[in-house]
Amino acid sequence: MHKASVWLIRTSLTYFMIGITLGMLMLLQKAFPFDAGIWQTLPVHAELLLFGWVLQLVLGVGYWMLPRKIEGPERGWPAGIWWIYGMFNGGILINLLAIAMGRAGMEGTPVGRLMQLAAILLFIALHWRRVVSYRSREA
Amino acid sequence: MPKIARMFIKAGMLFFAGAMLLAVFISLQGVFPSWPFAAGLIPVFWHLLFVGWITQIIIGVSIWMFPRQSREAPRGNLALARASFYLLNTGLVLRAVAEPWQTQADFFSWILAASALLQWAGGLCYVLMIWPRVRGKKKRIRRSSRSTSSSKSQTG
Repeated sequence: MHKASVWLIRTSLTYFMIGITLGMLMLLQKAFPFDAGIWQTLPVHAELLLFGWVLQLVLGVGYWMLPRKIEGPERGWPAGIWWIYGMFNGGILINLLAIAMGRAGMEGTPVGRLMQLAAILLFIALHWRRVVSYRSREA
Repeated sequence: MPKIARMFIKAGMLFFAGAMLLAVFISLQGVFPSWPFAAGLIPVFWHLLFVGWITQIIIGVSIWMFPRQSREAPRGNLALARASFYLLNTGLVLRAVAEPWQTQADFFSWILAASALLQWAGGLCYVLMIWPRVRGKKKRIRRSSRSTSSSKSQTG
């Protein structure tokens, strides 16, 4: 597994643990109310598990598993994936910070979402030509 | 594909179908406004979809396809994987049963609390199980060459 994929996947596993811990606390609060403030972490729970866990894991696995290029760097521009990692996680962190400060909810912030969009566009650009078959007869 | 991966993926498919069935029920609220449990069904729907389907598909495929841990235990700690499967699925089913009824009786609050702890424990077991398998090639090559050289030195 490529080092960048290791980072993406381990980061996603870390977000997964934090996200499900918040989920557990919210469900416990629902069953036996102990602190209503815990509901304010609902957007954090959603951001961590949707963007931090599921989407980031897909990025990491895609970078690792899609067919590699025959010519040039096997996964394309080597620095690209680190830009993707930085922008995607930067976007998550900005959104989490804004939610913590009470300036955003589930929708996130424009800056955070733009950083995530930029990461995804770069991911598509980096991987578009890796979605291929090297078997000439394959339909 | 190892058995535990097949179990996760098949359970995921069943939850997917269950989530879509719930979506139909929830949509009926428009037709029958007095339907009493629709509000409790919405979080159940989302969690059947995201935990039951998407997360279990991810877990199943990762157990199947991620780099092997070692020659002795290629898939890592399968006892943890099995524990994760039973904890996650039991927790999710209990949640689906208890959440819509939770306001009706205290008994369901206990089930809901148990479901929260079970699902969390299931997630933890999965992370502990898969973490050592998320690693680079170099490390594996180094380890395997180390084990080869040590076996050579033992035989030599």
